[in-house]
Amino acid sequence: MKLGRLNHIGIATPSIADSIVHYREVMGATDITEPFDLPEQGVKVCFVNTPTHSGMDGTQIELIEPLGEGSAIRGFLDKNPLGGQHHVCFEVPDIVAARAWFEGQGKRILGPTRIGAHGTPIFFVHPKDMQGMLTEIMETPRDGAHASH
Amino acid sequence: MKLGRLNHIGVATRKPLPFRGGVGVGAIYRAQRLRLAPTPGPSPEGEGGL
Repeated sequence: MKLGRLNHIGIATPSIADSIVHYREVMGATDITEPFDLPEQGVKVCFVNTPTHSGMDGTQIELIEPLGEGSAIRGFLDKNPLGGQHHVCFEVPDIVAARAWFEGQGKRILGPTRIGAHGTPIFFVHPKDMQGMLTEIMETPRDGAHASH
Repeated sequence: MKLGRLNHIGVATRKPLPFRGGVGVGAIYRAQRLRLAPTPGPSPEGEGGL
């Protein structure tokens, strides 16, 4: 497998609304998407877009807030009440080949491949097999879209 | 202030970083050590350095 683009960093937060204010007013972010629900993953999500030298297509900050009591990030926020870095996400050209690659190396994959916040297939690899970092692998959007929302 | 490019993510690791000639904390540490090292001079016998 060849390492792809660092698509986003997932930041857990107890309040997306408060985090949006922080990124806009303290960090000077100018391009933040509207929050939307991902009920199948138990999270509310929005993206802070960061610039590159050619536009606003840099690595995104994905703000994730628990949605419902069974949210996958509820435990993380119990341990880290202020929130914080939750995962990193790299792009790959072929999600099926990437999953086979990680499985072939004995890496534990968390759950099935599913559709992520960008509308493309994703899966997560266990942090204990990834140098302590929960790692999301996502298929690069075919149309080059940066975010689906 | 205007948000700039996300330059990098720092990932902590338990083992020392390998020296790669200008990358990472290990390189900074090595560079400081190199600057502090004494300049090699002639030996008491008068020829060559350390």
